[in-house]
Amino acid sequence: MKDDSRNAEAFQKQYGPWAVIGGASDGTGEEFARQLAAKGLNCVLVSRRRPMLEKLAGELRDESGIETRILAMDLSLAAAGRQLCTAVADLEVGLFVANAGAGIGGLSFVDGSLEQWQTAVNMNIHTPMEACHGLAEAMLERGRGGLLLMGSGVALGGQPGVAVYAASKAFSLTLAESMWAEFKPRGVDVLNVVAPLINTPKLRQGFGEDMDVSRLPAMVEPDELVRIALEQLPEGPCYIFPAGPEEGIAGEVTERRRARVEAATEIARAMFEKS
Amino acid sequence: MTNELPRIDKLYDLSGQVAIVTGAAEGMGREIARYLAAAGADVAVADINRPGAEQAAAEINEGGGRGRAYDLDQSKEDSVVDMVSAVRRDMGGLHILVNNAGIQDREVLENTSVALWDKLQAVNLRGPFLCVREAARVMRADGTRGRIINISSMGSLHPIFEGLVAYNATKAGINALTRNAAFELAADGITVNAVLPGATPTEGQARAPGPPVDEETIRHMMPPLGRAGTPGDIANAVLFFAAPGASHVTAQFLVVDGGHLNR
Repeated sequence: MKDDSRNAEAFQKQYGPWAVIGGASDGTGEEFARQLAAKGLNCVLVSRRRPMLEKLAGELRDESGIETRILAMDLSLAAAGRQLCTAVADLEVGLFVANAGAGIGGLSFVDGSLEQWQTAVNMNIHTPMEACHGLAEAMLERGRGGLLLMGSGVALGGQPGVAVYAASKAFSLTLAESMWAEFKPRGVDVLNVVAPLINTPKLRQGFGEDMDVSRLPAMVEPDELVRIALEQLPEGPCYIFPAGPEEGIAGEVTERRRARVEAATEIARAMFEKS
Repeated sequence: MTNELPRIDKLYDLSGQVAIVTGAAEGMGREIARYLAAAGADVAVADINRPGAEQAAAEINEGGGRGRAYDLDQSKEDSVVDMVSAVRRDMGGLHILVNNAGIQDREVLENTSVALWDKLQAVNLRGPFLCVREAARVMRADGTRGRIINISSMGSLHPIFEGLVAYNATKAGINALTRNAAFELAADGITVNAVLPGATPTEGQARAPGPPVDEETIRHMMPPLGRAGTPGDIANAVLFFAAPGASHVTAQFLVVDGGHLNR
């Protein structure tokens, strides 16, 4: 118990007092909000669906005694990241969880409209990039904080039926690794969670009721995923869940990617730093 | 059936509502902000002129209303996004947007440079478009049946005097923006209307670069009602569109020109 409170105190010191959670209305985002609230962080809940956010905010306040702010907005619209940053500019934001995502699964690249892909790019690339850019500066000034980007195993290689989604997650993964190299020495943690299939309402809705689960890789439950993600946040830059093609080699790939970032950091020093 | 008469004070009561008035540091915008504050709205005075905005907000507060100054350079997307998001954050929502900010640089057609054309488009048309876009996002997300009122110009319908080709092209754009936004936002109960002022002398207009307006033109511009318009005339029309009583009015142009176009 004592350990728990000490841990909570350390967690709040690094990532408090406010967390901003994109896509918080259900699924993984809701679970992030619940676990972060349980650790004592105040939560800004962001999503299009205000009624769901209001319900969740009420529960978090009652259960954890934290403060909440609701921000109903569509994170797939142009300049949404900027709108988000201004909406929380009066708060000391210590943690940003980029969890909102647009997954348009099962459509071949040419069958999906360009408009659909552009919306996905806004949601998965522009908005988190703008928000990280806007929120990281104050974190770096304070010398503490965290950026947690929800990624996906598809970031590690191409896959039919999810071309733009996979490419956008590759952007997110590489951006996180680069930010980690830049921010970690200055006290701000960065993690890209290379997640497997997560058992969320959105996923179930996406696949339909009659999906044959036996042909899919193992799914992880949101609470388990969030617990591991928050555990891994101080490590960074990415954590690859052992699932799908990475099932037996996730640890090795995670290590190799970190080693690559470290080696590349040395090269970057030689390239960009004046002696 | 009751014999109680309609409560006019209720039909114009904006208590608990948050309004943004752009370009409210002076002129028409300042008067519009004062009218909305007088009707009970909390008013965000948004302007590129920060000291002017502070002063206009202070005046509203001294008069017993509630005003607050915000920076706005509406030629810049970031500035518009920031302002609207900050107002929603600070004041707890957004119910009314009055797109009043604009400039009236004048030049005759053959001497109108691309630079002048682009500047007017950026400030007078792209700026209001961005304000409408951001306001619509906030109103929709909050489930607010909001009001958007754009300040156009009678010159958007009919030429009044020379030197306003580029200016009036932006104002005609405002009219199309108004009707199309009204069309898209109607399902969410958001109304979009425009007020088209006639000749209404303001500080901004007097300062605007361009050929001087000669005496003959000024005489020609005197409307049938026998006097020039005032900022209060315009503010009153804006108040009508903003008021609860106008909830069934959308996509309309209200020309406030003393009968000028009807000659």
